[in-house]
This record gives sequence, structure tokens and C-alpha cells, in this order.
Amino acid sequence: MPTTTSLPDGSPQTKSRKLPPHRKYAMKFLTLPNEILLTISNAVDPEDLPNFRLTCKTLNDVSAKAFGEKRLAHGRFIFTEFSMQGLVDLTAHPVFGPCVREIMFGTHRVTNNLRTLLNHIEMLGITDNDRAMEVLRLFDEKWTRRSDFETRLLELMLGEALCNLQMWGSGVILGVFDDIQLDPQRKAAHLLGAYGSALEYASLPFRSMVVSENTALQVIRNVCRNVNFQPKSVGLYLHGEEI
Amino acid sequence: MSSTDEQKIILVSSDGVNIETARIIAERSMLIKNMIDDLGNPGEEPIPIMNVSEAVLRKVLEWCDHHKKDAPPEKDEDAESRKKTTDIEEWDQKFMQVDQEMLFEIILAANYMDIKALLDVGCKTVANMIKGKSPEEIRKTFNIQNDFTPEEEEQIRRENEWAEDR
Repeated sequence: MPTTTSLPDGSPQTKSRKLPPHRKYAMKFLTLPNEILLTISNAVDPEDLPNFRLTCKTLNDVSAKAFGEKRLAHGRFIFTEFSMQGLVDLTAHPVFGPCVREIMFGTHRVTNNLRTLLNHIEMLGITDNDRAMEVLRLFDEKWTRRSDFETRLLELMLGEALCNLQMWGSGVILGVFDDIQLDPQRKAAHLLGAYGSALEYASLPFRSMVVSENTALQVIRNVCRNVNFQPKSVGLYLHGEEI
Repeated sequence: MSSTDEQKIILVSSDGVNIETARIIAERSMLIKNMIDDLGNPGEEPIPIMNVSEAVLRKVLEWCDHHKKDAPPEKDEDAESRKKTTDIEEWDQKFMQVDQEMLFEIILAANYMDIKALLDVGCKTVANMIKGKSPEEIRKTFNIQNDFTPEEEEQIRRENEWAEDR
């Protein structure tokens, strides 16, 4: 049986940190025809695609479609300006926009409920008035910014995103999901991430949130009506319960 | 069937070396299979494999020999490539433990000779070399120069965040 160039000890290349003795050949990868690089991109694990496309222009170009189809088809967003701007940019993107198949919007939002806030301050063991005021101000600021955004910009931006999707003509599922999930004993809660949720919810305790799937669905319904967008279907991922 | 299977044919590598092999082995290559079907009278005329050197052709035939009893390739092109990248059978993993030059030559030959399963194994091997690596580590592995401007790199990082759900 012909074994021309197998390495004797068979050490796999995946483990070797430095280049093999055939260094002069290592240049070869990028000289493979695009057709082959494209096939390789399709074989790359979806988890590795973000780093793969960060290596150089050629690999970014050949892997764009694989990245879009495998990593951007199902998106989770929340109703904040940062998150909606991401959605607008994503849907407008000439390669990635057409890859979008499903968009889910978070149902939770920051509350301005006074009792919730006072409970929170008590739980933190804050007795100092100035510090308590600081916490209240943080909530108030977040809440004001968010409700201001919701009344002024949210429907416009979502409308823009849906118009972008309409342009690609691909069927897209819209829906809502509970971004905060409680375990059955209500002892622990964890955040189900969405684009921009780290930014929005950092430093806020889960119990400062209220669930509002009706609000979320209403926003989606209004905007679909406004821009005459017909979702392929509507998805509900409501595993949580009201906090 | 078995009489044609045991038939010998002669392939000629790009560097002009004649290699005799069994028809059943060579016909893992759709290129060769189609040529034999078109030419008729297999075994009489040596078949030139223009783009593949002797060393690579022998290596490819070694693979074809091991896989000569495999089910014929699926018509559905996507079926195999959708498998997880880690799914490379042990013999193939060992077979692919070659230097990068040879690995890329095998991939090119599999593509040219139209051997879908071997092309898949080759591409998955490359994919496994990328697994878990940072961009810089991938560049080191394949000797790639970062040719992005800082702005372009920033843009790609932003796009990557769309995929991160946080």
C-alpha cells in the first residue's frame, strides 16, 4: 500500500503550535482556488466561523455566506436602541440580510414599579439615603431612556428592519421570547441573551424587570400593519412566568 | 460485475508516471469513471490525470483502495457536508496526518478527480485544524497575513456580535 508522505509518528497538525518543517509550503492555504476555500468554509464548525472570518480579507469573503446562514438565521433582539440598530444593520446587509429566517424579541423590560425598587434597595442592605437615591436614579434613567425610545423610535426602527427584510423576499418568522427564565422553584433566574441585552441589563437585578409579552406582541403587530409586512409565522417562546 | 471490478487500468500522473490500479478503485473518481464510460475498452489506453502528480495520485489511490467497498456517493450534495466536522472516521484521520502541502494537494486532487467523499474528509481535516483557535492562531497555522484595516476589523467584530446573543 503506497504511503508516500505520512508523518511517521502521525502527530496531528491540529496540535502542533509551530509550523511543520515544510514551512515554505504553509503559504499554500490562501493560494487554494476560491471554490475550494468556499468548500472548506462550509466545513468549518459554526462556532469557529467568527474567528475564521477575522483572519484576513480572502477568508472573510469566502466564509460570508456560511457565517450568515449558520450564525445569523435565528436572531434574538430586545427593544432598545442599541439592539434595534443592530437589527436594522443586519437586515440591510447585502449578504447577511437575506440569511435571516427568524427574529425573536425579548418580553422583559426594566420596571419603574416603586415597590420593586424599594425591595431591591432593602435586599442590597442599603440604609444610606444618598446611596439609595443613586440606585433609584439608575433605574429611573434606564426606564426613562427606554420608554422614551419606545414612544419615539422603536416602531420606526423596527419598521425599517421589516422593510429591509421585505426587500429580500425571504419568509421570516417573528415572535417573542422570555429573556428571563425562572427555575420552577423561583429560586434562580437566568438571562437568555439577546443582541444588546448585556449592555441593557448589566448591573440590574432580575427582579427589577417586568414581563410584557403583550406589549412586545402589540409592537410587532403595529409595525407589521404599518409597513404591510407578513411574517411567515409567529413564534412564542414563553417559558418564564411573571416576576 | 466482479470481472470488470478486477480489471486493471493504467493512470498517468502529471509528471508522466504510469500507475496500474484496479478499475473498482479508480472508479471512486467520477472523473475517471466518466472517462472509462466514454472511452469504452478500459485497460487498453492509459488514462492521463493531468493535474495530479505521482506522489499525490498514489496517496489518493490509497484512499480509494480503502474505500472501494463504500456505498456509491450520494446524489444529494449537501447530505454529507452537513455532518459535524468532527465526524471523520479513524482510518481517514490517520490517512490525513500529512503535512499541509500534501493535505492541500489531496484536496485539490479530490476536487479535480471528483471524489466527493475524499474532498469532504480533506475539508473537515482543515476545519478541525481551525477548531477553537483565535484569529491569530489560525493565521499562524496557515501563515496568513492580517490584511484588514483597523476599521474593517472593527466592522467584522460588530457583525460577529450579531451572532452572539448577548
